[in-house]
Amino acid sequence: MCNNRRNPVNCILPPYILEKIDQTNNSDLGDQIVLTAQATARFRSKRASLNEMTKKGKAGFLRTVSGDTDLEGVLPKPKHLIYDAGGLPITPGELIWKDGDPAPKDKDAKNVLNGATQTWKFYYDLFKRNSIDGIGMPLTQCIHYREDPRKPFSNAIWDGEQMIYGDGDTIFFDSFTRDIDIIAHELTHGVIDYSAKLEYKFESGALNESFADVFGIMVKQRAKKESVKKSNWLIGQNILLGDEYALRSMKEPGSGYKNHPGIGDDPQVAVMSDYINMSQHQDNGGVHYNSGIPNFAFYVAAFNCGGNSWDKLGKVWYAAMTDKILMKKNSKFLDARNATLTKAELLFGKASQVYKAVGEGWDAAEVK
Amino acid sequence: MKIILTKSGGLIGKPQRAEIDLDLTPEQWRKMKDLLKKKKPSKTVADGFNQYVEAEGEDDTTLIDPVNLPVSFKEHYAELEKKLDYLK
Repeated sequence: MCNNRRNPVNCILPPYILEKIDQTNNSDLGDQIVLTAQATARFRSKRASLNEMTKKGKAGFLRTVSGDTDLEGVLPKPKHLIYDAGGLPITPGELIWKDGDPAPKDKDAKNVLNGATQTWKFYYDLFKRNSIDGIGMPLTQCIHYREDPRKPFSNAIWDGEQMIYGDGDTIFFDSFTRDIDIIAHELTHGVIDYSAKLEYKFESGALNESFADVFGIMVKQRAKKESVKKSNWLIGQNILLGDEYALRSMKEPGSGYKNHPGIGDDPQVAVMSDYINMSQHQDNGGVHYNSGIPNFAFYVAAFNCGGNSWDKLGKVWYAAMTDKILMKKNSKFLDARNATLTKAELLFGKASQVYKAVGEGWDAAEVK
Repeated sequence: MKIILTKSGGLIGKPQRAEIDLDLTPEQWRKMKDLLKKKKPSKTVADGFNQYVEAEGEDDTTLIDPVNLPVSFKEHYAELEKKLDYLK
């Protein structure tokens, strides 16, 4: 049924067609039209991207290997596919930009192209990781997405295959493409899918969220050439409208926004004694609430290390996140403490400032 | 019977909530929940929303998939969804 009043979520048809269907009062007809339109849109999108890759002979996932060069000795580059959902609940939508095209005109396309490029470079330059899966997976991004064609989508997600961004409601939220740390956050969820595979619920889910924030902030700091002391440690500073608001603060979890007219106060916690037990139905067991704890541990560790977060501590966190023995799908905060300390010792030695700072970070967050 | 929809999660994490009064008997509501449970979301998406319904005073929440609702709940969902507001 694709009735304008009854099933807004599934509808991908323009309003004038919905009105016509309403007038016919034939719900079966509506269902058929929607299913056909959805299937056609999905097919077109997939065909377009496959055609593009085939034309150029660049089925990157077949050709590129992890490391400095691919099989032909060429330095890897990020592969981008940017789609426009056109304000509809379809993904990925219409292909609007691919590598080799002139610079995109759409400002959200520009944002996601820049954000994903900076994130790819971060992972490649520092860790020689070629894309999300380590073997050159194309960075697929979908902009102007809506769950309901009549309502703006105020969110960004990683759905297991692509990054999806909404435009925000323009009252409280701007476009979710506006912050490079959010683009890096979503892309890092993909990296986690191909490394630690942390289950997205309860404590392992909060760790998953925290790793996404940690790499999000490091990508932002590196892009802005900000040291740990210069950075404001805010996540989603531009998405939440109003100069005094951000989605989260890693320096002071729970202070991202206060007395916000639309969403009230930031509920994140910073220390283990404040850990919030929630049901799995509530934010997958509080993954965005309790991620403040490992976020705070990283902030303190980075601050005590000094310099640039990505130079030393980034290496420690990346080594921990991608170690499939130390980090497993159901790992908890204490496992992350042990994994980061192990990696700090291996990379810098037990007597190093880095090792000491990592311990101080987890201690400050009461994870011990 | 007061039915409550909670939309939690998302990148923001903050829950949104709405409620409507429905003229349902406990038995009708139980049957409705059974239908909703049959069409629960198939997978968890990073930063995706969780949506669940409950009756006021009930100690049982039912996860729902807004793109795969039983026909008998679609209108109620649309009404609830319009009223969603962040819990401050």
